[in-house]
Amino acid sequence: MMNIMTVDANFNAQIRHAARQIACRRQADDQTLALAGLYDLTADRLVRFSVSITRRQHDAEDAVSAALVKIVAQPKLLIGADRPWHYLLQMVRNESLVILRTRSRWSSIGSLAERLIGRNNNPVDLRDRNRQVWDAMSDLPAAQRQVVVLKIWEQMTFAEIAEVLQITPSTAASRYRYALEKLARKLQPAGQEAADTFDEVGREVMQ
Amino acid sequence: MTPPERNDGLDAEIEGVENQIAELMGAIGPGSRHRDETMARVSECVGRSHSMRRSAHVAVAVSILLMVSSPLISSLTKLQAPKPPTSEEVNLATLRHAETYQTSYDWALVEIFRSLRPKSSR
Repeated sequence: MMNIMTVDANFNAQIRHAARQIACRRQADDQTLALAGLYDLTADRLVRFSVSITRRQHDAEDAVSAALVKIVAQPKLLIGADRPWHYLLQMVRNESLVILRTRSRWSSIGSLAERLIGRNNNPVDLRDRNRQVWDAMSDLPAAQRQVVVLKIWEQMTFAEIAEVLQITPSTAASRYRYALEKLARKLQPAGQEAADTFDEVGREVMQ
Repeated sequence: MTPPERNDGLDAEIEGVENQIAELMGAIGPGSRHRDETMARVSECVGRSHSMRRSAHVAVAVSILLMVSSPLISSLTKLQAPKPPTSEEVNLATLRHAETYQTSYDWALVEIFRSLRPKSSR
């Protein structure tokens, strides 16, 4: 526990340092260079989190870019935040939700255009063996998906997840539990699934 | 004893799902061009905001300059009201008028005073 807290504190300190580097630069080129540090530090994780909301690769990337542009414009937001990493996650979440709202308005035109230009929206490659897991996760409600991602990929506690998503810790915990139960049902091997179905039918016949 | 076994089974299943999701993490991430695209976008936005800030600074400087210089300009360009003539000037003008029109000094003085009155009061 202590170790996770130290890692978390270090990561927050690194983000704050990167934000300070951006803040103290005056020239546009210098600021962009300073942002590269923050990008390398956080982009992978931010895109992963954003994908859990948008479910589309390029939307997630757009959300992360938009959040980073805002950080460059106002690095003090990040410097002054109690936990810069959580603040950054919240920013990306907001940007992702904005993109989702915009996308729903233009979804039909957008999907047609994407098919025409052959743009791949799925964050996981078709040939990837993890595709089945991603498909199962995609079917979860967005609220549950975000909790799962923050819990498993970001190793956050339910209290921290609650802070980022602005919900109560118990809500976060129950969403996580429901999500994993659903995923377990979807991802269990076909033989096991058939056995479960057989058990259920058997129980019904016995009754 | 059955419920704990069932719970153990479920917990093991959930742990397996957690492991599968943890593995999925490696398959998701930004595309290879995302970094460059983000840097280009940031550079463009920063450049635009800098030029906007510069324009705003220039606008503020110009308005301050105008505020400072406008009283100066108005004081320089203000029409000065003609100074009232001195008694000597009036005397000289009266003498010139009396000589020109061949009138007495008194009547010439009356004419001179009349001409010196402001036009609106006439």
